[in-house]
Amino acid sequence: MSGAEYFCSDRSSLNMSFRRFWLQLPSPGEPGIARTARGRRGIVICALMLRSLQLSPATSQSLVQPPESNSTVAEEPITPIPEPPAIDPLKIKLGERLFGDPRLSHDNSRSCSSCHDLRTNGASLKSQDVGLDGSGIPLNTPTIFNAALNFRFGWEGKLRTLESDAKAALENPQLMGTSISEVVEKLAADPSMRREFAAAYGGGPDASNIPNALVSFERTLVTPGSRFDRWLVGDAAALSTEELDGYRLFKSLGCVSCHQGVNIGGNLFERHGIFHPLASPKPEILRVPSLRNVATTPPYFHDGSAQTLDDAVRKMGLAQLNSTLTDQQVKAIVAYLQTLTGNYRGAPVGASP
Amino acid sequence: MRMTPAVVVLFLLLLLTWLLMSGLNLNAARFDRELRALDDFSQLERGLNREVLTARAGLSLNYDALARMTDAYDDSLNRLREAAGSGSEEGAAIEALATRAHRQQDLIERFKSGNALLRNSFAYFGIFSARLGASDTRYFAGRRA
Repeated sequence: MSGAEYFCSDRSSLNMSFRRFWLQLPSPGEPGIARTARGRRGIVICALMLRSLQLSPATSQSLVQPPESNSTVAEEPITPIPEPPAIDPLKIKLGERLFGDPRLSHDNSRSCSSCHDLRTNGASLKSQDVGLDGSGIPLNTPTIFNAALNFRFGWEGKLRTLESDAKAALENPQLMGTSISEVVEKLAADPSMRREFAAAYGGGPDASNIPNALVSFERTLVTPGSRFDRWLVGDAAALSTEELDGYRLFKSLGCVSCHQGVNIGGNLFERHGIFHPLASPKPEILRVPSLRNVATTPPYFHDGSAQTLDDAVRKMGLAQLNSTLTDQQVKAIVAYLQTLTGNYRGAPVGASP
Repeated sequence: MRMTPAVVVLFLLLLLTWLLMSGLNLNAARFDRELRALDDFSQLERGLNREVLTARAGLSLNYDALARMTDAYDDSLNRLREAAGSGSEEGAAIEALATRAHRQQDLIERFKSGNALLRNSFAYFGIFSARLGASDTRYFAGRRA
């Protein structure tokens, strides 16, 4: 039996103990089992199991603490964004041109940048963008910045590669409504495009090199250099006391269990509305979104129902962690999240064009 | 019947030629690629098990390594398919491996999702321990009064 098989099975003793304990948990504020002898024994046993697994208990910490000394990347669950990979500049330039080319849509009315505006936040300001047929696109447009760092693509994470994501967007009737063959035909009729493809790929546009050019450009859409990333690599002055308190809360409350890694999310699936409803119930399971540049990308959630970051943090605390956050806690977490805004081409993401 | 030297030499030449042709493996390069992909597949599968156990024990700070390894695992299977080509004898065995790989990846995703929730659930132990300590203090203070 593999490791994953064991931990997903009912035979895992931790899962069994966890389920028995979970069934007895009261809701916050209710008198519970704590005073009974049986409850105390249960808590002691579970505390011993916790220590044996070397897991650090996540307790809320005081908000008033002096700034910590320099932390190292190796000790934190979040890592800084690396510089973009080395890619052929001709392919990147061609990809950037395609990204803004309306011929990639069936009726030549929109390009990728119509919804993923790189001059601002790589997304749009609307809860729902408008489809080619005039109807609202059901899911909020996520930002294209740092999308290349996700392990799966799309809100539901059904797409495994950037190339398949690009092709799916082109072929989606609500988004671009075209086909690769139609795009090939349009671009092949343009002499300047033929020249650029020949320079980058040694031949004309085709079904393989068009998505490849788009993806080559998309891989450069990363935003290193956020204040939090500078703190991670040792700049103790990069975060204020309140922002550091917000990060500690982010860890102790459990937000970091899902929002971790280089993209502060983006590397696992999770269901939403675990304790309380969060947003539109469908889809039930989402690829956890990245929190990079989150302060610049309202509205929030897959249906765009949370208009402000404050609102989103409160709702996530309640829905996913069963925590009713105080105003001070929300303020601290929002202050921390604002430090996740990185830079693109020398300017902070979300800066006015 | 005595065999002339010429006949013997001819016989030996034919025998050597037959042996040479039998020893030639025209598919050597393909088999090498398949074996390399299979080695990678096995190695990555062991690595995934190790990474799952590391994550479960709380020794991995995030799931990036597990995500990268899962992608490499899937990539090794694709390389195995490409090396074998369509309609090869190994096709059925490779598809059996693919079924296994798909199941492993599905379990790993379920593990990541469940593990994230489990880690947060452990936070309740600290919260309730603190409440237990506070309630004991109030209880004994009340009795003394």
